Amino acid sequence: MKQTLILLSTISIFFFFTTSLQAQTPADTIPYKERFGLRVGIDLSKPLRTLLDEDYRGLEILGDYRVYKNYYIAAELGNEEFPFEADNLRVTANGSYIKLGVDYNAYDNWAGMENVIFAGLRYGLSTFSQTLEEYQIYSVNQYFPTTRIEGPFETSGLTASWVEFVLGIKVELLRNLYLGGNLQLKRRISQSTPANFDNLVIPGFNRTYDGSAFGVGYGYNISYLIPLYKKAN
Amino acid sequence: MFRKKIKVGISKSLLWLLLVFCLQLNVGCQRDDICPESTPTTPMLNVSFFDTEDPEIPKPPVNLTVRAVFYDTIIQFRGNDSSLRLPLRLDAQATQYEFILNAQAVPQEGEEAPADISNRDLITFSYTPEQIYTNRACGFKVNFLNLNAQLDGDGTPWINTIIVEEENIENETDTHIIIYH
Repeated sequence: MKQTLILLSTISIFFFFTTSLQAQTPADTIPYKERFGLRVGIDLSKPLRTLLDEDYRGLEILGDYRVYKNYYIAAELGNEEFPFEADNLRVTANGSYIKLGVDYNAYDNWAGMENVIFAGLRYGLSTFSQTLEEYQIYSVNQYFPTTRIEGPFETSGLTASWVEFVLGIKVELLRNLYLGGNLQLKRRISQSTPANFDNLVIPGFNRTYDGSAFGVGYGYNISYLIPLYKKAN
Repeated sequence: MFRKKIKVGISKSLLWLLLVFCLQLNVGCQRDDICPESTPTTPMLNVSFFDTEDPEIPKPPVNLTVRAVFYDTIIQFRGNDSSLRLPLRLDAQATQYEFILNAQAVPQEGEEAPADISNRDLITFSYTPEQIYTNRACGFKVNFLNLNAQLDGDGTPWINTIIVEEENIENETDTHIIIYH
């Protein structure tokens, strides 16, 4: 008898909650129109690094266009002068790059919000030159003084291409103004290297790793959405 | 009102998370690349000494002192080994070494210097240095090609003949020069 009472009361509580939830649902299903448009912006990390690191200079503009539901076509266009220094050599890469691809917004926004947490895929292409500023010949035996060879030795007309997986967010801080950040994992597909040397840095790809085709990167950016039309998602 | 608060809260914490992550990435990626010892870099010249009378038998020279001409530092002082490893100059096409047989010992305090019975021979090793990129940590190395050795024994040389066994110095395992004496 007591058990039946508990069971009944549990069921009634369950029903109470489910019905009250159902009562709320219709209010949320009012079709809310979301903004579709072109978002353009610039990367903030590169100008910041330009200020902090006197050997580095870089700029990147970026944009995305919402084509369908949560899918965006996205692109980045940039130019970098990128130094790399190791124990026995110093190089600078200088060039431009373009990245083209798609983003998928995986974030389920509340009505009225249009923030983005996305996963994206890019194809990157860079044309650049690499300058060997100076180097020294490595010898374990130090009987003779080390030979330091001053450059610059420049090889221009180099190219590299890669695919990139991006994870990032874009948060609408003010109306139409977004602040974003992302992390990038890259894998090189092709590259041309200087004779008897290697690409130690590639603009857009960042530093390379010996014996590996992978690379990493990050970016912070600020962008503005130019709304073109409104449509229910 | 409540939603707006949550929205700002989420945005803020996400931004902080991102900032911390990026800072860590900045620090973490500045790994120091160090050239490992196992990587073959600029090789040294391997010299072996053999007996003139019996060319199959290694013959260590007695109390051999070796140093590069015009350099103060001695590479080997009164050594008695049948082989020797010598560095070569990277900034020139030749390196000149002096090989002093029966080199004078440094007298102990209060002792008289022993009679000088040393015999000094000069050998000029000439070659073509070839620079080769190894990797980003080790940078470049040099291989020495078209090796040639010339003896200058001023009157009474103790060295009989020099044979270039390996013309190109590309590793440290081969014997490159054989000296018969």
